[in-house]
Amino acid sequence: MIASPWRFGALFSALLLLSACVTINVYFPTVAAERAADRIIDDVWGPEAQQRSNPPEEEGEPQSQRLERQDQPMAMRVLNRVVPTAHAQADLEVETPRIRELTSRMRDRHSDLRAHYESGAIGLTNDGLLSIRDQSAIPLADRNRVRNLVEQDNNDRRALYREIAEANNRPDWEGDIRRTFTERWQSRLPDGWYYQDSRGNWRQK
Amino acid sequence: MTAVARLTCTLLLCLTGFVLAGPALAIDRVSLSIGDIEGEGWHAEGLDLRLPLRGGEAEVRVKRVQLPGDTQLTDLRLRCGDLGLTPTTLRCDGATLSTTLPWLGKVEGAGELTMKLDGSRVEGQWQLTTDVGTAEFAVKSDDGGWTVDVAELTITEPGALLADWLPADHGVEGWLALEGRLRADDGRTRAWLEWQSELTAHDAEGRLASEALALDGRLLALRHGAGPWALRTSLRSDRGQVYAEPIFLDLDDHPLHLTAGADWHPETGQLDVRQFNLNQQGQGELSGQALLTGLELQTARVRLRNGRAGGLYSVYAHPWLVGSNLDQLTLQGRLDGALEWRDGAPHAARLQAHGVQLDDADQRFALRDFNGLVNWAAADAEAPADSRVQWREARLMQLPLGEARLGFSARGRDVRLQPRQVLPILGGGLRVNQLQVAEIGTDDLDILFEADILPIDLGELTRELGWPPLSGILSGNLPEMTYRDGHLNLGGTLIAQVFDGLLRVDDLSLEDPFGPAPVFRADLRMRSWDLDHFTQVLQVGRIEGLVHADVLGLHMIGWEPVAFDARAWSPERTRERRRISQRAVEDIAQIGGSTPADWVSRQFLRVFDAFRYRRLGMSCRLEQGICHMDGVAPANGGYYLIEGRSIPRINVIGFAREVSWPALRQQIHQALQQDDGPVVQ
Repeated sequence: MIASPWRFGALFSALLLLSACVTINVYFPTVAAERAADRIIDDVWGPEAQQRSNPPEEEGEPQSQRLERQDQPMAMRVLNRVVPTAHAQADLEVETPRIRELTSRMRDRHSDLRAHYESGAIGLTNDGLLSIRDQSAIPLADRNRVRNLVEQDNNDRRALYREIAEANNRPDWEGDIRRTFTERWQSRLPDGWYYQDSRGNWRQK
Repeated sequence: MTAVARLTCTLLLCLTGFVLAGPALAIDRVSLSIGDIEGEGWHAEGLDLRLPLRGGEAEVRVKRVQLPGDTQLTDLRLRCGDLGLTPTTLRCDGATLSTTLPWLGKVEGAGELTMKLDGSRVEGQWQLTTDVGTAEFAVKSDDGGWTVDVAELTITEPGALLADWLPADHGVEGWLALEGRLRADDGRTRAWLEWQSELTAHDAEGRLASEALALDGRLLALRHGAGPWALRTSLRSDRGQVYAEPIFLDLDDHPLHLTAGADWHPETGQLDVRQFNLNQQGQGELSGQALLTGLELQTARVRLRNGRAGGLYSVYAHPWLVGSNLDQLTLQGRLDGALEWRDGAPHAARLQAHGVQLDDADQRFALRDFNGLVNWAAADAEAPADSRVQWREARLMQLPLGEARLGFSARGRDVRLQPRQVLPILGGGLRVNQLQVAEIGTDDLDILFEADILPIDLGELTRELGWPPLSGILSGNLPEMTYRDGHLNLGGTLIAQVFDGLLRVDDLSLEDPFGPAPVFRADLRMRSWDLDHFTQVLQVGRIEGLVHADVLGLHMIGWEPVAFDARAWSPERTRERRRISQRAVEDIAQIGGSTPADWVSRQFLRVFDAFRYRRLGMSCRLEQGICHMDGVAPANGGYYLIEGRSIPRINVIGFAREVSWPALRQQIHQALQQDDGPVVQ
């Protein structure tokens, strides 16, 4: 075995390479975000929100994470078994004064907006906001007020997604939080209200 | 009908009908079938004529007539009940007409026509009925000119009539009744029209819409040759509703009347409004001149007279202010003003207020007897005259402001207050050395404020603000306060005399002051406060002595503290009397999280009214919702909150090192709420 020093060198190099690849991945905690979204939706919409259809109580791995793992090289997967990837699935922080204030304003505004959801005048967009979909369903005298309510609610919604990301010290999660909220708003939308599908077409729940 | 008509293709002349009259064979009527006929700009297909030779019934049928401008008549049938033909005249009595027009649908008509064959005179009257309405009109033409009189034109389906012209998803319903005359003679064209209408209309997005809007009017028009049209119009609307985003107008409440004189140049599309006058009930009177090209306003001079501040705010200003701090105002008073518009943009404006009273539903601000003249000019215009305003009384966030007169200049998006003007506040005030507001109405709003605080009585001030009453005098200066990028910062130090001591505020900043949860930061330092005054104000028992305190790194979100490092302590080497009442001992013990639980302690406390103390103090460092507590000195595994002196001697010792902030806040709140002294359990 004259090649053994080489083999040792190769093995050492491989280990070095592997160890160089060890990174701590903090994945977006989808399940926790869904729970946080549900809590806020309960608060804003109250009892009229659809019951949580798929309560994500168990701490399963989010799908995105599973997919990501299958894409990893075998060596990384072996290594991850030995040294589990660090990821946090604790609850997201949504109890800051600013988030409470935003949620409370959205709840107050919702009592004004409810009739317009029901008439089909407004609906949920596919990016977690509100939009006027049928002005003609709003009496002329109310149009400007509803337009402003929608605009204010959208400002608060944008601020809410940003605040949740910042309250958890992950400003880069804002997009994921907004996507999670979009999905939760839509799945908990009361019957008869409108939402936009992924292509931007309006659909009635 | 022009004689240039050229027969093309097949001129198929068929004598298709013979009528036998009497024993002799005589031709009484001629039927002609003419395939196609074409003239300059028009074209007809399938033309059939049935003509009497000696008077009687005549009929023309055409399958299709193509007129200039893409207008097409189909199935045209023109019938004369009695056609009279002499060598010079043609007379058609008992005429009927039917055809189909693309934008009118089926058209049926009845009337009569007389004309000289040389074309020198034409006279006719017709009643037409179509799918979209009815019309009754008369035409007269002679050597002097021609006249069209519309006695009654009623349109009941305006949407169908305008279908070809309206953009997609626009709609119009309602009715229009019109009468008028169009006359041309001696090189002049004159017209008058009078109409009543009620329209419900909307654009595709619903941003422009009306609901049963009554619009009645009159138009006089005169044109010499090919010159401009001179127009005079009067429009009146007193019913219905209009929405032109964001403005909603209920004409039942605010009927309006517009009169205007204008020149219209058809070749350039320019409308020169020489004078207009718009009067709206409950709003005021607007008059002036304007020049428009198409719908674009080029120049204008507009004057507002007798403007009602309340009406103008609720109808025209409020829609733009919804969601802002100015959306719940009630206004009274009168406004006059003027606006000059040049090159498609505002150039200069003047607004004069007379006896304006302003109130906010949330009581954030109020003005009493506000008068003044504001002159404004665009940034690239000549500098405007100075503006002056005054009020008898004002209120800003519960802060009462006395009678004041202020001078300032307003140009472009910038406003500058003239230096060293005083805003009186409760016997003192603010002497404003500098106030510059730039980029108003943009995201780059920039405010610079510098003022001296003329001594203000703190007791009065805190009472007005509804705060716990403080005593002392607030004075000092606000060296450089800025608002930039949504942040309010105090550039220097604010010093106030409070409770016979000093309050110093450093590094004050406020982020997003008008947002849902403003972020406030500051360092506060209190020196030599007289505790006797302080505790009397707070009604927490009585403490005599002095105290120093620091609240450093104070960080509040939505006016709720999230972090600070606070410490209060008795100063060293001062010789003032230091005594603490039994109740104050209880309160401090409660705030410190301890109560004298044993019987001996309770009785001991009850025997004496007050105790002497050597020093007292407390500290709390708030982090992550936890208050890390300490006292003035270590004591038996805890810390002294009050260290007693002489006999009867009392020490209050705290042991809790980490206390939940909400719990501590609750304890402070309870201590401050107890009116009848503490309940010792």
